[in-house]
Amino acid sequence: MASNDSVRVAVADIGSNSLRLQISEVKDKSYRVLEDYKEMIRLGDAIYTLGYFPKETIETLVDTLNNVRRLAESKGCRTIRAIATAAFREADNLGETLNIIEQECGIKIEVISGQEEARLTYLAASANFELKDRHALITDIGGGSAEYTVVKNGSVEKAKSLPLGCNRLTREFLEGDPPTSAQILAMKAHIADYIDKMKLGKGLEMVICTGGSMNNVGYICHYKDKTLRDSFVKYVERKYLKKFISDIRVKTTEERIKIEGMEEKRADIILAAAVQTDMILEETGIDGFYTLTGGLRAGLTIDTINKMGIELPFQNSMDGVRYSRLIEIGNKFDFDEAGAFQVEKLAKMLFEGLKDRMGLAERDWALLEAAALLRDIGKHIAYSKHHKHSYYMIKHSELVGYTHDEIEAIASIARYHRKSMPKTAHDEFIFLSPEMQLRVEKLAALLRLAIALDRTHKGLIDRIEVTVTAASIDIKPISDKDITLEIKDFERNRDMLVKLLKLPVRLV
Amino acid sequence: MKNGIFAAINIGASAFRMHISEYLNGEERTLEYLIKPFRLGRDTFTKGYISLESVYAATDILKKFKTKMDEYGVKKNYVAVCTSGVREAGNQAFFINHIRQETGLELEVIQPSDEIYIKFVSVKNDIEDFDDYEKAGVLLANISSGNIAMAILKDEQNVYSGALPYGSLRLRRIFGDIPARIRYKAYEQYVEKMCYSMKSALPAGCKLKYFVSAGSSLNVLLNIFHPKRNMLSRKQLEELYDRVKQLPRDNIQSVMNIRKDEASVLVPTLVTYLKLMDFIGTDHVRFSRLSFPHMLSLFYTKTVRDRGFFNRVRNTVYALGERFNMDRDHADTTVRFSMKLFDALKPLHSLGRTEKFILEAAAVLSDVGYYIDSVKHNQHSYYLVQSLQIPGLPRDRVKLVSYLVLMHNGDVDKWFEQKYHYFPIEKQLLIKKLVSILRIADSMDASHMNIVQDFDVDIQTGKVVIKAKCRSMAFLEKHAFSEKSKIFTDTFGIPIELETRILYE
Repeated sequence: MASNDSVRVAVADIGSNSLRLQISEVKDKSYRVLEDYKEMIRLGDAIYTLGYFPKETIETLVDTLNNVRRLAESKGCRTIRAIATAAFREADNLGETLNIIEQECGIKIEVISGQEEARLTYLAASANFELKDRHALITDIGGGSAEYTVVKNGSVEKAKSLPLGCNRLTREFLEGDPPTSAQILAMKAHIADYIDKMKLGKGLEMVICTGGSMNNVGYICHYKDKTLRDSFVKYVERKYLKKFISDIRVKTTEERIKIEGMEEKRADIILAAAVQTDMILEETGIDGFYTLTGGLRAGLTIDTINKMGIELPFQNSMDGVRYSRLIEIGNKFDFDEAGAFQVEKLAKMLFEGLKDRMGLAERDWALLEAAALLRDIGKHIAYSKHHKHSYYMIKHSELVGYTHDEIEAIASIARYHRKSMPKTAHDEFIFLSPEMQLRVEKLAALLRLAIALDRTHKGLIDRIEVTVTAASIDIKPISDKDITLEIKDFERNRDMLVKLLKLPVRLV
Repeated sequence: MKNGIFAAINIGASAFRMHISEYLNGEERTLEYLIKPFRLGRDTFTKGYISLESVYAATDILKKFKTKMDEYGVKKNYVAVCTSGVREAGNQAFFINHIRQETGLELEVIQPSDEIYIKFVSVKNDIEDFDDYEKAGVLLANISSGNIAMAILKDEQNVYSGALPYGSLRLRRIFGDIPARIRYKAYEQYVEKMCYSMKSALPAGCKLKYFVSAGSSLNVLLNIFHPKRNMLSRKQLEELYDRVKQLPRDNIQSVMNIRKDEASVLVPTLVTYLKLMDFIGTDHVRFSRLSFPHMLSLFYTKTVRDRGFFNRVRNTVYALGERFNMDRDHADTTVRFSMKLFDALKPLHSLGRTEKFILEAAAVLSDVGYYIDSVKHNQHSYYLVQSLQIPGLPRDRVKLVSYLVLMHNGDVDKWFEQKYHYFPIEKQLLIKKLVSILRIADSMDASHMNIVQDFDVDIQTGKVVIKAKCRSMAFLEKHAFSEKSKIFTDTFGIPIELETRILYE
């Protein structure tokens, strides 16, 4: 059950292919997903052939919604906010269906417009990507419609809902199993008409796909890497997508199902989504796309939280998404915020003073910053071995704005903030690339010193000055307080830096 | 233990001690207590290993202890345990081997958690009101030369246990180069840091009332104060601290009339006591006068027992679940169903009380991994359970619980094929038996709505039938049951079925 200072929200997104429930716990200014539940109901099969919901489809809907309502109630949610998209928008018997559902399940469904769908998808994308200074296209290729949202410098430039859902396209064009070349060409010509009207142009920098079918492509692409395939955000190169399309276009649905990672109920419609995305990449000249799991429902959760009067840190745009997520994760595990900020501040000064001498790049600060903030979250499990717990928790915490390898590196820097130095005998270290191993060592060495300089946890040092000479590294802490313990701890923790720089590191 | 003489040796960081007792009809009588100050930890805490010179010196001391044991005719009735001075030494294996070859004594290195547990059991049996302390909130600290091992108990549960490297000799070594006049300030800051670490590991709002001390640090205080009751006051300690905190060691030795080794650790010892009293908010520290070797003797001869062990571990398991926001209603239901299934299926599994308790713990903790992430929550639950430290609960049992929570959903066979194929067949079978029951119990509250109110188990020829009484249609439960019950059939060789009946129908 929810603790006293938290509240639980349940949202359901009824799409043309699937019904998805997301239950989250909102605490302070952060939320975490407790449950993601999916049922493939394929409403589009009826709507795009009959134009209405037949009796058996409504019964399936009622049964499924009753199940998700029970699940939500069992998790302590009082109500479910449910939205429905293209399939409902186009159903001839919409009113009747909504009435039956309200009577049988007690759930009042909001049928949202394509524009609203695009806004919610943007909300989810902006929580996971740094879009402030980017020109990006977000697509949500659903079963019935496809939402295209163009974002420029952190705001929506245009949003369109197009009748290009993959279930719809498959029903209308790809009748063969496998489809013929002529059928695929006809579909491409149809899609091209709409893409042309969107006038996407070549100025776009990134494409983010949030629909279930494109997420399935991302999952298949990274199927061999267990960690990556389950992450919220994945990157797929266009050359992979092209190979994927040429591979499946000649396969029957039965043959596609055998592909590792393929969702059985998407095997027939995935080609339409893949082709459409490839055409977008062709049009924009971009080499690949990102997938984002849970786009619409994540946006719906955020919107619901906003409606409760809570603005999430990333929406408070001063700090950016990447940084806000770090703070959210820290809060989730009850970190000592003031202590984390002090160590972050000292780490930054050390980094700036030593980056050139150590051969570190600007990007490395983002890694050190995350490790400085999150190094102690493992204490939420136990003080003993908390550096190892921090490693585990960072690795499984869906950091935003970092690649998979960078998250591994951040977890490792946090792991080495105390106790043993990095060793090739450590599994987590040996799996990093040699280049990343060296970066981890350098950044962990800086982090250890920053922590040492706040050993009392009292923020006694205002700033530090770093002087690099040919003979030594001199670090001067500026403080008018008694920093005996900080000095002592600095002396105990400088070995790692001395070893890396092959120079004496002195506190002056 | 049977009637006879038992020797307990403790190889500590600042002294070697031996306690020889005679046990007669369940009564213990101390025959002899030997103490030989020797700072084995001085090497370990500064160099990371025991110097050869110290190895030889330690061997000489233990040869003399062995001679004394021979005088009493003690051959196998002994235990010789090493704490941090040996435990943290890089060459501990050489040390142990050398002692074995030269004296014939078999040394055992114990972990801080074992050390604090032995002290906990001994103190619990020695201090009359300790059960009340456990309810109100007590910090039991084993403040020794190398480490401070602590157990915090509240509401009869273990809310914290751990060993922190803040022992008095270690502190003396770390700050040895700071002038004596101001060294106490460094001790104060350092021990404050320890209190900060402990506070951050405790549940929010956890208030304590009592402070009980054990460990070698007590000896110097007893030598100075000679208290009549088993208690020292803050006032006594503060007055002493003000007198000695800026004095050099030799002055302390002459002023207090104590040994040199005691004088050198007196200030860090006092700092530790006073800061811990601040941490708890108490003006008194209570203690037991039993020495550690004496405690070892009572523990290893099973003269003292841990009353309420199961209850405390159970409370601690539930507290861990609460810390990770478990769904208490679902956990209670899963426990109730697991326990009922365990009892009803006894003719099939033939398992005992310990295994039942392991199942109960797994039923409580199977979903805690949701706190980290809902994706692969069973793997996160496994990780969290593996990190569980409950003094007195053997590691192999904690691991068993972790295997059960890992496999409470997903593909059990896959785990055995890919990861645990090296387990002995008996261990695999034990896990499969328990996990089969856990999965059935978990599936019967799949909706987390307590739809299944109760059930009967009917072991028939050729199948087991669960006859469930439900409040309403159990859709999710039936679906989950069909998915999760395969391992039951594979393990016990008999299919299991779920029949549901809606109550009042």
